[in-house]
Amino acid sequence: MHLELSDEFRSFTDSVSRYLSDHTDRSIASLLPGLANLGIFQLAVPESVGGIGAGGSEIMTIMRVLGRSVAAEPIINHVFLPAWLLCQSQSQRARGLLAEIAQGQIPLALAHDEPNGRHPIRKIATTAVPDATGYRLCGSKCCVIGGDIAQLLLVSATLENGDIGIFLVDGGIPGLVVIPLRPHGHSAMAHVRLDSVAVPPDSLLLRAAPSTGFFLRFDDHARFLLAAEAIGIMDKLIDSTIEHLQTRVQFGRPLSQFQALQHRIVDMVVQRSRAEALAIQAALCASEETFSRASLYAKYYANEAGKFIGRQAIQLHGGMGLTKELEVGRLYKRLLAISCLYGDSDYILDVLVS
Amino acid sequence: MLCSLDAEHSRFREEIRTFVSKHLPDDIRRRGERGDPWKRDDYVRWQQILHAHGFGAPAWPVEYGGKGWSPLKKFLFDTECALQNAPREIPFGVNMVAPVIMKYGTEEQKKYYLPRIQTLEHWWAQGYSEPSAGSDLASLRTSAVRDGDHYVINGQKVWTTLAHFATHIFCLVRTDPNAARPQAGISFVLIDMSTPGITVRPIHTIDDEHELNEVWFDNVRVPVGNRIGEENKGWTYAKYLLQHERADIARVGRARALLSRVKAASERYPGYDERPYSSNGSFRRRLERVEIKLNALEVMNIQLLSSRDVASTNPMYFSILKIVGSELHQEISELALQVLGASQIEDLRGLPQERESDFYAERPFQNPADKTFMPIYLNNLKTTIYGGSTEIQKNIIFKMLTS
Repeated sequence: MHLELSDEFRSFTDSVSRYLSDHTDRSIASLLPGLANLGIFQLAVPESVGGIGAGGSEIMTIMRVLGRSVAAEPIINHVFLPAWLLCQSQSQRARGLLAEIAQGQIPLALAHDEPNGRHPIRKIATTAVPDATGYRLCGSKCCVIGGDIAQLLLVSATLENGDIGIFLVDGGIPGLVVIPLRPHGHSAMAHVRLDSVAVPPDSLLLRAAPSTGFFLRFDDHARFLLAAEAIGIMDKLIDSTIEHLQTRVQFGRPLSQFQALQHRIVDMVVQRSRAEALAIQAALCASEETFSRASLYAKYYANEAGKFIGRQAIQLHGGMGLTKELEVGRLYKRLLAISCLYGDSDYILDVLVS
Repeated sequence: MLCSLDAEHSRFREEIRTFVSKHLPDDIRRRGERGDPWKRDDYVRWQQILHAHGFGAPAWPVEYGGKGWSPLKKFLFDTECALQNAPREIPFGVNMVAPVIMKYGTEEQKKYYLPRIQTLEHWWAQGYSEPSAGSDLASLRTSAVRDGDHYVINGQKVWTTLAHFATHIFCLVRTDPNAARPQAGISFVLIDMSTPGITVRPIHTIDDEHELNEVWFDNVRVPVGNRIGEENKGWTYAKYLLQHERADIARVGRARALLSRVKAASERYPGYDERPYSSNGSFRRRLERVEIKLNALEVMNIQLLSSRDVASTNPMYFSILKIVGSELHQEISELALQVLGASQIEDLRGLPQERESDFYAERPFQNPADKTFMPIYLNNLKTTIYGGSTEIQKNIIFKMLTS
């Protein structure tokens, strides 16, 4: 039950870590081209269209490395999740887009969520109605990560027969209203309204009946990516907290000499061990059925351990943990965001119970 | 509370409830209901209304212009104000420095400061913590060096709440760096914020609200007459100050006000199925757990304050209230995030006002006031850190248990 990584891949992740510690600008405009140059985008794309087609072990490892440096979120939302959807499509356009992703072209944004407050969404209220020139898209999409900068959007919509379709929509098309929003724990986000947006027939990249479990598999994949990212964030929070306790002196000695605080650190490490084991298990699950359950387990524990570790890290950093000067608060906010996306803990327990 | 207060206190609470609902200005109330931050002027206006009706500092002794209320009455008053979304009392003047001035100040200090505290003409800030003196407050380094009739003050205070609104700050400063114990070389001084050499800088916090500040002192000249009591005895006065501001240490009214907002929101937001989130079993159980804890907190608080001699009560119980109260505030605000679900990741404070109605029309379950749930959650993370962290409170409690 260990991740299977080649020496070559290990040295690749080392170079990614080095790059991220040298380049600290986390704006999408600066981060994504840099990571594209390193070849990270190729991991999300199959070999047949110019990628590398990374397996679970590689994905888990790279997400953990990126998570640690607050760099995973745009890669998940602009590269891995769109690429997963495109891989399910037989269309030439989708293959073309995948090839572009492999070459580091970006950015695609996912407009899948709808304003219903809870994740993952069950019903797509956005509609696609055929007309003489193609389709008309109507509805609103929320939490469109990077929706304010993306040139292309992947929009989910319900077709007339009840199938869900994924449409490729140009970011500048008439009828598309983009309201940029400040996000908590993300890089950039928008609310997007589609007022009868006209798209050509070939913009429909794929369609699937909800009963095929297509979107459940998508959610499973997203859960795995987020769980892996969360482990990386936990790594960073634990390391920073230990360092803080060793350097901060109160009552004439470093905080690390207070037993009550030592135990708190150990509690954090214990929680991470469990979350890590479950994420690794998901990475090693080959069959779809076991992967689904493993991703639910991994996400559940990433939620729980993430919130616990984040809370402890802030408390142990004292007031400094609440300032923007340190990264602790930002990492915690990202863990909070992760915990409510693609299934919070209550949702996952409900799924497992049923 | 399920059992009722005695007749006197029930009547008292009723009077306060009527008073607040009659006199709290609508615009201020609305800001409170929406969870928007109050403006400086809101605090001042409300304080002046209270003062005009004799409630400016009701817990003070009558001789200083108060009503001599018991801590229990003060608690009931604070709770009613919070439940009706009145601006919170700025404690640094009325509850903190004023009792110190009454007990240790000169006649001149009493005459000058106390009336101005009641009207909030003087807005006080608290200059205790420093970058290297947090939990270990006695290790503070801000220095005050005697120069004729003045102290020359140099150093930095941190986490100073609303210092950007303040006209005055009371500070602990080091007047004897060679004292045998760190506590022995500290003095307590009153400083006018307009004195040259004082700089207030905002601390950027993760909730993106401006509440905390750094206050820097660069050769600030403060008259020796602004010292409280004796030189190098400041620690005694500082400890005396900490005994006050305890009646409402757990902020029960605020907790209840937030919980009722959370409940109202849970009836609007969709759950995992078609039904409203308020019907979700896990959520309902969590909500009930919080209700029980809040009820326990309220009962504990009232029990403590209705004991015959509150002043000589074992301080351990106030530490317990602090721990229980701060954890509960965090739990309620976590529940608020739970209600928001995935929409918690959107920060809607940035939404231009002219777009609001259009925007919310697409989200009938969402209310503009909900945008404050995440900032409140992040802000409440401080409650287990400030005013003596939970860890420090536990040290105090254990010491009391074994002494």
